[in-house]
Amino acid sequence: MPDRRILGPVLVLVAVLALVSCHRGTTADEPTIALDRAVAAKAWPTDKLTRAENVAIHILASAQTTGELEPCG
Amino acid sequence: MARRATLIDSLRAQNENCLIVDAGDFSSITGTVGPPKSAFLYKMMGRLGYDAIAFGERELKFGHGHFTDANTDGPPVIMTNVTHKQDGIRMPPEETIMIKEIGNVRIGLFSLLDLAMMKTVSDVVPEYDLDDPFEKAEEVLARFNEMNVDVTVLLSQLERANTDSLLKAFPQIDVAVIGNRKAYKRVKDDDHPAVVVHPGRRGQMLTQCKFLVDPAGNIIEPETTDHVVADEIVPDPAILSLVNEVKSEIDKAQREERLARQLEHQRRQQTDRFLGSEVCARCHEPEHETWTDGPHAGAFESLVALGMDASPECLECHTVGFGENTGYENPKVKPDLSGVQCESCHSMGSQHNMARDDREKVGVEACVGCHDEDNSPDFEFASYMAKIKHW
Repeated sequence: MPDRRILGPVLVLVAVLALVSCHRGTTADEPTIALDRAVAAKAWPTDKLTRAENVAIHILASAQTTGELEPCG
Repeated sequence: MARRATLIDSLRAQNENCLIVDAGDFSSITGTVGPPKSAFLYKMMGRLGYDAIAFGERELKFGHGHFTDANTDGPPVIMTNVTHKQDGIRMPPEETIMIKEIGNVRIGLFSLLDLAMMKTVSDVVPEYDLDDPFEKAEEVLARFNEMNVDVTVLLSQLERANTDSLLKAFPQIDVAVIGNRKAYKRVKDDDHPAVVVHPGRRGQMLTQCKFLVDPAGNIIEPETTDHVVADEIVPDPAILSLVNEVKSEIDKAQREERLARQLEHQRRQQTDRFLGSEVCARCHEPEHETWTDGPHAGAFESLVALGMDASPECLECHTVGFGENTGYENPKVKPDLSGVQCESCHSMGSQHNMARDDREKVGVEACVGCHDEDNSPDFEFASYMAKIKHW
C-alpha cells in the first residue's frame, strides 16, 4: 500500500501535467507544426534520381506583371 | 499576356525541360478594376502553363482564397513563410514548397516574403502572419536535402539586401528569382554562388535562365537572357480574344461607375463645371506659362504616343474630369480638357472664390490618386512638386 502522503502530491502533479499537455494540443499555434504537417501530407519523394549526363534546364521567369492589361506609361 | 503566351510557346518549342515561374506582385490594386483584372491575370498564368508562382504583398492584400477559390485552373501558389490563422489555428494558406522533376532533375521551389511587408498586409488581412524568412529557409533547405533535391529555386519577395544576405547565408540556393517591387534595381553581387534572375518590372520581360545539371547535381554554365515582351511579337489569338473580352467587361464596369458618379455629381452640383486652363490663364498667366513647359501639360500626348488615348483607365489621370460632369470626354467633346491641367489639382474652376485669400495649398493627397504604385512607383512628394513648381 503506497504512502498517502506521497500518492496525493504525485496524483496532483500528473493531473496538472495532463492539463498542460491538453492545452498545448488544442492551441497548436506553432508555425513549425503547420509547415511539418503540410510537407508530410504531400509524401514528397526521397529517393535520389540518377543521371549519366549533364541535363539542360530552362527556367522562364516573370514578375510584377501588374498593369500588363493597360500600361498607361 | 497574349504576346507572353507566344513567347513562352516559342521558347518551349526551342528548349526541352522548361520550368515556368512568376515571382509575384502581379495584381493591380487600382480602383474597382483591380480585383477582376488580377483574377484574370492569375487565371491566364494557369492557361499559359506556369508551373508555380509566388504571391507578393499585393496578392496577400486581397485576402485568403481570393485567387485560388475562384480559379481552380490557376497555377499552384507557393508561400513558405506565410500562415493564415483561422479558429485559433495557424496553417499555411497555400503550398509551402514544391518539388518538380524535369528531365530527371529534381527541382525544389520555395518562396519568401519580407518581414517588412507584415504591417501593410496585416492591416488589411489580420489573419495573415509572416514567419522569419531565414528560419524558414533553414527548415526548407534541410527538407530539400532529405528529399535529394538537385536544384533549389527561391522565388524572392524579400527586399534586395535581405535576398543578398539570405543567399550568402544559404549557399545551397542555386537560383533566386526576384519579385519584390522594392528590389527592382539590378545589382551585381558576386558574394554568393546563386544565379540571380531578375525579370524586371511591370511584366515587360520574360527572363530565361539556362543551366546544366551534372550527374552529381551541381549546376554549371548558367546563362540568363532577357526576352522583352515586345510589340513586335504576334499575340496568341486565343489569349488575345480572352484579353479583349475581359477588357470590354472592365470598360463596361467603369462606364457604369462613371455614369453613376456623373449622376451623383449632377445631383449635388448643378452649376459647377470645369473651365480649362485657358480660362485660368486670364488671371494666372505666369503660373500657366510654367505649366505649359512642365510634365503635366504633355500628359495626354504621352498617352497618344502609346496608343492608349482612348483607354478609360488611363484617361482618368491624363485628362481633366474624365468621367465627371462637364469633364473631358473624347477628342471631339471637350478636347481643351486633355492633359493634366490646373483643375486636376485645384478642383473645378467654377468653385474658385476670387475674393478668398486664404486658399489651402495643394497637398500630397491631390497627387496620390494618380501617382500610385502601379503608375508612378518612384513618386516622392517633395521632388515631384519641385518639377512642377509654379508659385
